[in-house]
Amino acid sequence: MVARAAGRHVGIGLSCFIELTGPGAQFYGIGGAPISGQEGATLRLEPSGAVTALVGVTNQGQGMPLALAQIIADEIGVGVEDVTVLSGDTAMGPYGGGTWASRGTPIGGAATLLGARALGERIRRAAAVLLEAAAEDIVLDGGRATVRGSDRSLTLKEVARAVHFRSNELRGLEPSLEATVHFTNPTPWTFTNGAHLAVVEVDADTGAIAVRRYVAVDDCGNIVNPALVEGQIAGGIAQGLGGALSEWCVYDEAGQPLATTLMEYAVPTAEIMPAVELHSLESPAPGLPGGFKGAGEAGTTGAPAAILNAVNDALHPLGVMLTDQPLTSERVWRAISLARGRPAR
Amino acid sequence: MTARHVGARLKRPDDPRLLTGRGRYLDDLTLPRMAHVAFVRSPHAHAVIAGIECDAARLCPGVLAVLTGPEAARLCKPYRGVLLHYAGMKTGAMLPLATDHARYVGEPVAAVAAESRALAEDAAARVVVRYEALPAVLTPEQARERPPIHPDLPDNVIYETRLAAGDPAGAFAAAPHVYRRRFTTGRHTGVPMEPRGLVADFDPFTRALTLWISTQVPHMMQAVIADLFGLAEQRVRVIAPDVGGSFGIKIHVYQDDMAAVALALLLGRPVKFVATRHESFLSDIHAREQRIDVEVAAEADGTLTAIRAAITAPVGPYSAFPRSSVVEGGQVLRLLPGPYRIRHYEATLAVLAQNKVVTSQYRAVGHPIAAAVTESMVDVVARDLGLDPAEVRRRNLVRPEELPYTSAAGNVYDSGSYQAALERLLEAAG
Repeated sequence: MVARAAGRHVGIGLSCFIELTGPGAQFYGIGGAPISGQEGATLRLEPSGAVTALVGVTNQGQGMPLALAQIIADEIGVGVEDVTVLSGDTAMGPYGGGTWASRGTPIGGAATLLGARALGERIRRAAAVLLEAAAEDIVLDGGRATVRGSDRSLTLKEVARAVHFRSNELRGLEPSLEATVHFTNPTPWTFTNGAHLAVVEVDADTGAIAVRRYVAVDDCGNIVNPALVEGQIAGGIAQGLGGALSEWCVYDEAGQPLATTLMEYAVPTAEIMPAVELHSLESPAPGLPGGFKGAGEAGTTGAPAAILNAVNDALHPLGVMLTDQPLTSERVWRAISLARGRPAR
Repeated sequence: MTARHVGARLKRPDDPRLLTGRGRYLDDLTLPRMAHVAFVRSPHAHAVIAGIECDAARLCPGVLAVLTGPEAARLCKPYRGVLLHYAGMKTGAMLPLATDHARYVGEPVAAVAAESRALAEDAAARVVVRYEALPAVLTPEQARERPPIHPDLPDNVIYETRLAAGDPAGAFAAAPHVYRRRFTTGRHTGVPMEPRGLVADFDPFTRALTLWISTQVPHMMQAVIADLFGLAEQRVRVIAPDVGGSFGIKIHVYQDDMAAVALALLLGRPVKFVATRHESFLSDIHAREQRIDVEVAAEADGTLTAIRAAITAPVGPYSAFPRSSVVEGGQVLRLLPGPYRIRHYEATLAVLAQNKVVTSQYRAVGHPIAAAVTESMVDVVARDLGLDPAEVRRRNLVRPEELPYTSAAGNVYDSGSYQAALERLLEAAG
């Protein structure tokens, strides 16, 4: 209000939204496409006592291997540095759909969690034989298999070396420290939600829009790693801002694309992108082991609406409402000129 | 007890490697005897290909092969991006290289394999294509009026549908306030830092193909390529090295990629294709181009009662393969009611062919379009009724006790914090 009184065109925009994440087969498989809706994880305990996991979900820069390593580390009771997560080779990994539609953590994370539990069970059973205890009494923690309430324990390396090299000590137990589990979402998808707020300032003389503040609350279920989630949300907001403000594959009247280099196609730069204030809520996905939901697309979903509403809030006193994205400076300037009774040339 | 890792703010162990330039991206891969591919792409949005003259290109230094549409069609089956659960959808087939018609600027028409990328580009510049330009379809109106882009698509309509729930006609008739607006979103694309690229290595003796490709979907590529090229699926190995961003761009079957695979089969030696940034803008899927005519019915207190929408999604000349070009419009159709308790809903969707780059799934598929429309209309209601936009949302958001909630569009919202997220936002924003 103070800014407006000073003649500045400042506006606030809200955006409340939902987003479907973690689809199973319902997007493509049921339509006949050879796209897997399930996801697999193969985990093994190496003779060193470290865990190797092969997964179907891929990493395009999100940090998926770290998130899955965190899930595994908790189940096996080892440090995250003792877990190696590999993916991206059809000859090596379990069959799966890959990472898209915000399914990496809800589906791939669930498969990995179940795989880690299955590996944990194998470790407990082997340790139980070696420690002459019941498998349900073996606790995995701190890199050790310990008989609950006792000081009898083995390091995971000792368990692994016994299974791999001295399987005669297993008294007939299958000498395996490997488990593969596959998982698919039993429901079509799980929904995330969020609420975003943008504050913008519009230069009425040039039509330029500056994003002054951006606050986001996102609920993507149980969070595995807040830093990775924030990276996804912030990056998503950047691409949402791009779509709302500047990115445009323009064609001329003959069908020639006019934006075919980064000189003409304006991705948001650090100059455009504000510092974003990120907050989270955690409503677990009810149908998924781990309760994780997807985070990859929420920022892109919420940002254009918040920007559009903020710009229209700023321009309302001028009698302008914009409904065509991207809100390029030219479009904004033309709309303001028209409203001021000065036809845009 | 070991500290719990789930929930911990840990740093990615890969970051130092990637940030110091030690990543191994697709273009870092070099195999012995590797050939490089450059493309001749259509400069016309729509044209008959009346002839291609390749002799001069074949004589250029370092050239190993020049592939045209009909030759590629002998190695690769035609493919159609049709999803059966979108009943009635149809599309013309794609091939690695255009044969008789070019249908968008950038569509690959010929591929040159040479000892280096520079030699391949030099030779590609010597390929002479005779085009006879045709009128292009560049708007939804032109799609409805102009001759078909593809003989398999007689009306340029890829898909049409309608969704209705409750009593929208009654709700609009009874509503004290009805608001109408038209929204459009511009085409945009994902622009990953690392462009698309592949190295295809075919062993003619075992007919085994190893494909290194910057992709999100190794198994899908394995299944698709085995099928299109008639290879045993178990002999197709797909490997994704470090991938430098994708955002949905690298989950599609691109014509140029298939042409590069065809050249690998033809030559029996490794073939590399990495898109330049310019080529990426001419060939990476586009998204988001839509027009939505929307009406919202509201009570005097800001309660939203009904939405009616006509969604027009002008896409490319072919439906993308295998994920199609109809999902984005389908998502908007099902997402317009948003997080709100709206019981009366009616919407139509028309997916229309155009002579522009093929469209398909890019980050958040349909969601940003739907959210921008619905949220703008909530503000229109609030502004007109003199209500606080936050209060209008509060009145209409799904409440915790209503979960799981089935939206008017049929989506089941299994869980969430619709009201709490708004309150937290208002608190955080101060």
